[in-house]
Amino acid sequence: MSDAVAAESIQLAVLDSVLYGAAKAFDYLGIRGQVMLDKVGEGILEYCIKKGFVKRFDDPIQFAFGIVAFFKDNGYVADVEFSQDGEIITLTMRDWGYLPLLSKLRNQDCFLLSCPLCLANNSFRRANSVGWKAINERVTADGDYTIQFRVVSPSAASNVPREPYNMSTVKVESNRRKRIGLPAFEATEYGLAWAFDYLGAQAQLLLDNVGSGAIEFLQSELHMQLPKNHRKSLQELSSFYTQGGLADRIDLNLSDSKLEVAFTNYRYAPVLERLLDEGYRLTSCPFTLTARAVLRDAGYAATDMQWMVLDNRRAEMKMGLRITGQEFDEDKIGRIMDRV
Amino acid sequence: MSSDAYTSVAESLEDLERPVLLALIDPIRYQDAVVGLLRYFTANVPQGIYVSLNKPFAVLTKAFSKAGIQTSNLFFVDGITNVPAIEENPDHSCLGSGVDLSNLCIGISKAVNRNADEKFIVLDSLSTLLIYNDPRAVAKFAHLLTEKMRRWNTSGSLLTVEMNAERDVVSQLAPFCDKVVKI
Repeated sequence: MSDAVAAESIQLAVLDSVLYGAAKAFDYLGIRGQVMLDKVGEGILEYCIKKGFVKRFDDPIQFAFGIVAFFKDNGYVADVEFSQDGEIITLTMRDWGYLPLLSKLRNQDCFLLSCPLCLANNSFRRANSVGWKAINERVTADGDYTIQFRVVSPSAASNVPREPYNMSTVKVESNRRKRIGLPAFEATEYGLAWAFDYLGAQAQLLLDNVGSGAIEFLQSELHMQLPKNHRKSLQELSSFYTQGGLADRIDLNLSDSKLEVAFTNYRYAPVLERLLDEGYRLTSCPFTLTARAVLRDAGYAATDMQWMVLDNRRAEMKMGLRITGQEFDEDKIGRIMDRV
Repeated sequence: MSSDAYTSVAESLEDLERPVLLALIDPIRYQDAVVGLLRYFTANVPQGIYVSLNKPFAVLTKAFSKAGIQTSNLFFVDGITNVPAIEENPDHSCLGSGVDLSNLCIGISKAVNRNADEKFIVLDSLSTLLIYNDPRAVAKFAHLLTEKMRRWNTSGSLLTVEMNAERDVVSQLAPFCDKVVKI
């Protein structure tokens, strides 16, 4: 058992929106996109260990079981059966929270895997110079997912067998009503912000793509109608993420030059606090990522995002807004440069 | 890994005098690629200007020194550190975070005009500019900068992280540069 049996939960759809967005955001890199996603797994482990959710063991098998137990305790998977016969490993996931997303992504020919449990294990194996190469997979009528791997070098690792299972035939129950323990949500969200910090400020572009993917998920999977008016769209997002349990209240104050957001009982606050304490500039709050996507589509760029964590899981965010279509006058600036 | 980046840059620029390069960088290898690129330019040009829109000057100097790059011949134009007003220092200037394209151009010109020595310019990166500006404006900025680089007789590189098609500016920028190198 892990030490993080969830006392508080959040709707899985809140997390699913960013997991879907993350897979779509790195799809353009092909299989290299999985290497980027596996970095999220490193961040998940980092958070779990720092928070004491998963104990660090010298024995890799014991540690890997600890990661599985953490996600089990948080309701992400009901059970994971593991067996090994020489170089062949067989895993069966029962009531796996990622199956609907896996199916949705595969049906769009996106073969990247953004399941947080898998990402954490991928990164752990990579750190131990071990790789698993998928050789076959299947989904039973009960919705159990079984996959077989061969133990290989990390560079030959793959999550997708040569002949992937036909996911279009899989009937999976939507995650709409499912919930996940807060520690698993926090760890995944931390991993998402932590993973790309090495790229500096430009990593925001990648996270912005995650936000666009999350919007696509909300529209296609949850049939969210986002009006053309960005103010109304932000209200829709606020309402969805509040109902999902991201915060009890998300209050917005929007003008043409800034957006101010006040979060009450904000379940992302522990992640935010840790990221800010550790000096990270990137954040991965699902509401904020999707809000940035809506604003970008409306022709605005967020120029400077400032966060303040208050007491009792309250937080405030302010971002400056600039209209992106503003012209850059090459001739005029060129003349100024000549005079400097 | 940074030696791979060094080799691919060196091979690509072999026959070019004062090359202006567009470096398209694999996000997985970003740090190594930047170090390899900088190693190439510092080995071939006496002075350099590093325009950072990604990481603060203080973080970069430490990282580059650790990677064995001589930073004493580098002047940093920092467009990421938050400062109340533009700051000029002997080894760096701070333009403030989220600097607009016009002020960035002026900041680079000032850095070039600090002395008459031969220099290179590295802009890190065009991708960051795409967070705050539309691709057309970024393309115009890059066009202007490469034109000035030729007039100033500076070599250098504009960096961009490999992006999806929606944010891809490479096709627009490639004609302004001597070479596009994928690192």
